[in-house]
Amino acid sequence: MNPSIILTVWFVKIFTVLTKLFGYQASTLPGLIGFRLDSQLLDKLIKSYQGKLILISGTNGKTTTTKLIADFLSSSGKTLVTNSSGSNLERGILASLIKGSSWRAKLEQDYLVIEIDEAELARIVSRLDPNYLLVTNLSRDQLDRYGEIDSLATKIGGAIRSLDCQLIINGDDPLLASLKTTKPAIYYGFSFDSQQLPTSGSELSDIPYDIKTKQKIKYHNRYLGHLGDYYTDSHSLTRPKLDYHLDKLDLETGKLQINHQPLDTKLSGVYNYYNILASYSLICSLGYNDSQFQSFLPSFEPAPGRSQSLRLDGRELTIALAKNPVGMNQVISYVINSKQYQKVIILINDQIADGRDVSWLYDCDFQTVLPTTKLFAGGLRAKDLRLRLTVAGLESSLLEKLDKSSLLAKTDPDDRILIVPNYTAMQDVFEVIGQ
Amino acid sequence: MKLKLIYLYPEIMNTYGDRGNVMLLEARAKDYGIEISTDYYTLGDQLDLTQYQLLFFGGGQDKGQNLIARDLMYHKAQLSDAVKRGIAGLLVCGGYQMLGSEVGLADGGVLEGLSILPVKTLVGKNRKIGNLLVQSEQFGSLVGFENHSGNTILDQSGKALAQTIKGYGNNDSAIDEGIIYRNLIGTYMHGPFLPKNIQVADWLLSRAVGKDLLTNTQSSLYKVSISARESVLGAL
Repeated sequence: MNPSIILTVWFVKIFTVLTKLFGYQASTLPGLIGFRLDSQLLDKLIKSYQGKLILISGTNGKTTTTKLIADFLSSSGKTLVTNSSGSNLERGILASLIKGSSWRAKLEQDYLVIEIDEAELARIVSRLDPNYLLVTNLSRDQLDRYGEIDSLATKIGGAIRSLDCQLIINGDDPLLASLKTTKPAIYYGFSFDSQQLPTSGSELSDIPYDIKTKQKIKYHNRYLGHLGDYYTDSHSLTRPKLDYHLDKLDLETGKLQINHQPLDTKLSGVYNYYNILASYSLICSLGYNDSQFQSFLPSFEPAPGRSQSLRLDGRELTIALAKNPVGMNQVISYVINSKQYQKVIILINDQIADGRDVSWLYDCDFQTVLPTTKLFAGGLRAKDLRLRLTVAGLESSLLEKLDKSSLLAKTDPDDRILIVPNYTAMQDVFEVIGQ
Repeated sequence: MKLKLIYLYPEIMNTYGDRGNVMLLEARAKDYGIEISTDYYTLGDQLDLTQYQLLFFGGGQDKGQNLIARDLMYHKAQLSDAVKRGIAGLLVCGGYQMLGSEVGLADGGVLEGLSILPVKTLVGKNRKIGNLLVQSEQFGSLVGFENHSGNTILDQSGKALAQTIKGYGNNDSAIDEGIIYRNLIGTYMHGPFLPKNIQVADWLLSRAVGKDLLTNTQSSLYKVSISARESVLGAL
C-alpha cells in the first residue's frame, strides 16, 4: 500500500474524530477532505478491495433496499461497509469507505453495500467497477437537477455497457429495459393481478410511449406509476422474462410469495414489496438460499422516516417520507386514505437535497385525497403546498412553524398523527422530536 | 355558462407540473360558476377543435416534441382556424415553441412548427434554468420557473407577454418573455404558471366566455394564490 494513501486516510480519520469531539455531525465532510487531499482516493481504495462491491441505485427504494441487503448480510455474520441516503454522492460514499477502512488504508470487509444516487451512478460507476449493480426504477425526481429522465436512462446505459458486472434490475420498469452489461441481466418483477391494489386516480407515466416506434406502452397489469407487465402492440417493447417474481400478495397481513416461497414482513405499501423483491433477488444471486431470507425478513425494521411510528406525548406519530410524485401518490393511497389518522401534516422544503423547484407537487394526485382529515401544510414551501391542496379542492391550514407544540396542536392523547415530509423536512422533524 | 377545454398531449407534454395549469383553470372556473369540462387529446385521436373555447399545450422533453411533431402538423389547419376564431389558450415552453415557425432542438435537429405564432426558436447552447420574474403591461408582475435551451425570437409583429426582470425569458438576451397573440399566451414559465399568476387565468376565462369577468377576490383559491404569490415575490 502506497504510504501517501495511508497518510491521507489517517488524516481524515483523525479529523473525523476531532470534529465529533467538538460536536459536529460530519457525514460528507470527511469525504470532501479526503477528495481534496487525493482526488483518486476513491479509486485507490476500491482498487485494492478484495471483497464484493454491491451498488444499489434508482429513484425510489434505494435506502430501504440497501438496508435490507446490509442487514441480511450482517445477520448472516458477514462484515460490510454501508452508507446512508444522506451520503450517496461521491464524497459521501468516500466518507463511508474511509470510515470503514483499516489504519492500513485497506477495506477488509466481505461486502461493500453502497447506495448511490442515480445521476451520480452514471457519472462514476465505471470507476467503482461494482460486482453487482441493482437498479430499482427510474422516475421523475428533482428534474431541475437530473435533466430529462429518459436521457438519464441513456447515460446510465452508456456507462455500464462494458462493465463486467452482474446487473439486477426491475423488469417492470420499461425505462430500464435497455440496460445491459457484459453478463446477462437478472430481472425481477410482480406477477399477481394488479386489480387488488387501490387505484390512485390519474397516475402519470414517465414513459407513455416507446420512443423508438412511437407506440403507446400498454400494460397487462400496472402496479405502481409506470411499473408493470408492459408491452406495445407490435411487441417492440415487452417486459423481459422474470427470474424472480412476486406472485402473491396480501396487503392486509403483509404475507407475500416470491418464486412460490411464502414470506412475512412488517413493511407495508407496494413500493416496499418491490424493495423486498429487489433485495431477495440480489441475495439469491449472491448464493444465499431463500430460507435464510425467509427467516430474516420478519424482523426487519425500515430506515428512519420510512413509515416508522413512535410515541410523542401520548400520541402515535407516524412519519412517511414522500419526496417525489410516485412516493407521494403511494403515501396518499396507502397511508393518508387509510383514514387512520386524526391529523395529517405535509411538510415540503426546497433545499438543494430536495430540489429547489416544487412544481412536482402538481404531478402528485392530491385530488384523490379523501377530504375528511384535518390537513396541515408546512415546511419552507408551505404556501405553495397549501395552494396546491386548494387547487385540488382540499382545505388545509398553514403550519406556521415546526415545533413540538405545532405538531401536537389540536390533537387529543391517543390520537394518531401522520407526518409526510420530503427529505430535509424529515431531518427537521427528527430534530424537533429529538431523535 | 359552460366551457370546454382541450389539453393537447397530456401524457407527453407535461413537465414541471404543467398540468397544474389545467387544474387551476378548472378550479377557478368554479369560482365564477362556470361549468367546465376537459378533454384530453393524444397521438392518433380524433380531434374537432370547433367545440372548444379553451386550449392548453404544455412543455415536453425533446424526445416528446419529436414524438408529437408529425401528429400535430396533421391538425395545422384546424388549429390555425381555432386561433383566428379566438380560442383562448395557454402554451408553455415546448407547446409555445411548436406554434411558431420552427424549433431547433438540442441534438441539432430542426422541427417544423405550425407557423401560427410570429415566432421561431433557434437552438441555444446556454441552458436557461431558474426563477423567472417579469413585468407585464397587461398582468403586472408574473413569476415562474424556466428551464430551456431554445432561444425564441419574436417577429416584428409579435408582442411580448412581458419584460424580463430576473432570469432570461424568450432568449439569451434576457429582454422579454413570452408572447400575447390574439387570445393566446405563450410562455416559458413552468411552476406551474397559472396557480401563482391567477390574473392570467381570469383573463383566459374571460376570453373564453367572451366577456370580462369581474375578478372574484373572495374565494379561498384566490386568497391562497395571492398569499403564495407574495411569498414567492418576496423571496426573489
